[in-house]
Amino acid sequence: MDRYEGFHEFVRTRQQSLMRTAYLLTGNPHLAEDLLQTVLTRVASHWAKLAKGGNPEAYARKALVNQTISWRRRRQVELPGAELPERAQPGQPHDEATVRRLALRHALAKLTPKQRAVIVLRFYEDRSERETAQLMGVSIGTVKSQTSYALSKLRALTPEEVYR
Amino acid sequence: MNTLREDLHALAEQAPAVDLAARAVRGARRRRATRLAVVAAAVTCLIAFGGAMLLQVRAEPRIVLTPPETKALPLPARGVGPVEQAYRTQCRLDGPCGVLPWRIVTRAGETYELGEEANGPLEVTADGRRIAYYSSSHQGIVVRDLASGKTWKAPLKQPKEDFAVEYALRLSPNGLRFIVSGWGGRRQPNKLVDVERGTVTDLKRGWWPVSVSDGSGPVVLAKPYDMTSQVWVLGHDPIIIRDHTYYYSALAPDGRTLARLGQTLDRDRRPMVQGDRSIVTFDTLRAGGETRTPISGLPEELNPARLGGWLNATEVTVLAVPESPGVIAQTVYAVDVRTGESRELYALHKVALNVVPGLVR
Repeated sequence: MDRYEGFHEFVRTRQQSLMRTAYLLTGNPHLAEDLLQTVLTRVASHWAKLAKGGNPEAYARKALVNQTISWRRRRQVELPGAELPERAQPGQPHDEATVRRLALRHALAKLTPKQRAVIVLRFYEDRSERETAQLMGVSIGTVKSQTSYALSKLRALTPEEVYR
Repeated sequence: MNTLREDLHALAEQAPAVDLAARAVRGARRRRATRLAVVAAAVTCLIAFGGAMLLQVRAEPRIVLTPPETKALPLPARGVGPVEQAYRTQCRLDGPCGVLPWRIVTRAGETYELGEEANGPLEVTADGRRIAYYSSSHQGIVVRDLASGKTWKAPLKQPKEDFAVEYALRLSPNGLRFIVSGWGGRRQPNKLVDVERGTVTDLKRGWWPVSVSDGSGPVVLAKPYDMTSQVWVLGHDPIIIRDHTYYYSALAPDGRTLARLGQTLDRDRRPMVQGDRSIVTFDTLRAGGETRTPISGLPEELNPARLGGWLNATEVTVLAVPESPGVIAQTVYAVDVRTGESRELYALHKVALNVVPGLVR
């Protein structure tokens, strides 16, 4: 019997969703791919146990968050590459949402990995404070304080009156 | 917050498409093969050893007991020997989670538990004789000599929130001088504290603490950039390191040599930055002239992850960690920087937040 039976199917159906989270957590496509591959290798290593009674996706998501936080020392190579060009198309100004999202991308890069993880889990994955705390292995109080710091920073770094 | 949610979803849509299943399985197979090789070697040794023992004594029936949860006595007021390691068990994902106390394990094998007052960070001096911890009642760092029970309170009040974010607490060899730094919080302290003299000195922001000496000895800070790092002994000019790194040792007994873990960068490889299992020594006061020595004697499954204090003029402590948790325990080694030879000192408690005396992290 193939030790990895079912793993390919799991990856095929879930990898793009996991990749989107990894991309938000790292802010860089190469690092996101590194991160996800590291995590999926770990999932594959434990596949026999996870496929029996575990929850491979929950395991993978927790590993994504923990791995990205443990990579915090590498944040200097995670700088976003894209600068906002002056015009989107010749003669056409950028629309408001595009400008805002580019600003958000730059602002996310200024957060610590823990703060970025909190923002991604709370506002992208829509997880409760308790779930976020469990995934990150911290207290609910820490999630609250990190969310507050992270939002203050995002507000300070993005166009006014956004993300209130 | 709906705008933030929408914008995050829009950004996430920019994630590139990937197909990682085959690569992940290849990686898992490689790891399994390594694990099996390690187990096979261990079994061979056991059989050989067991056979030799059989020739000497008749085997008694083996009784296999599940090791009980280590009991820990409250930390006595005095008379405690040097600490080998400290740990704090972690909450299980599916269980309740209150405040978990710190435990210290002495070199003699005794385990003691600290009171609830020590509910923030804890560090141990490189010689294991003193601990420093955040005391919620003092609202600051307290240094304690384990043998005499004497305590010193830092002349710096800090709210507990300073340690709810990323922080570093770097102790001098006698623990009476330290740097406390924090990132990501409302306050971003970066202070040099001398508990004997009762002084607090502000350090420049953005510089990460590497090493603090006793008294008025050298203080070493580092600052990483995209592809390089700067190392700064206060009072001298910073020098440039041709790597982005945080993995330094404490300052060597000669007062100017530092070790760091070697690494390589290859943009076509994943991960791009990888440790190369070498140790690099350099002069903190003069750029250039690095010496790179491959580390030998570590099990293949363990990678050097952090450096710490020096045991003597040539041996520095190295924490080696497994690539994936749960296979082998994290282990502390002594590595000779001239030859790269390593010798095992002790393994760390599994599934816990560990503190290794003198580790730079």
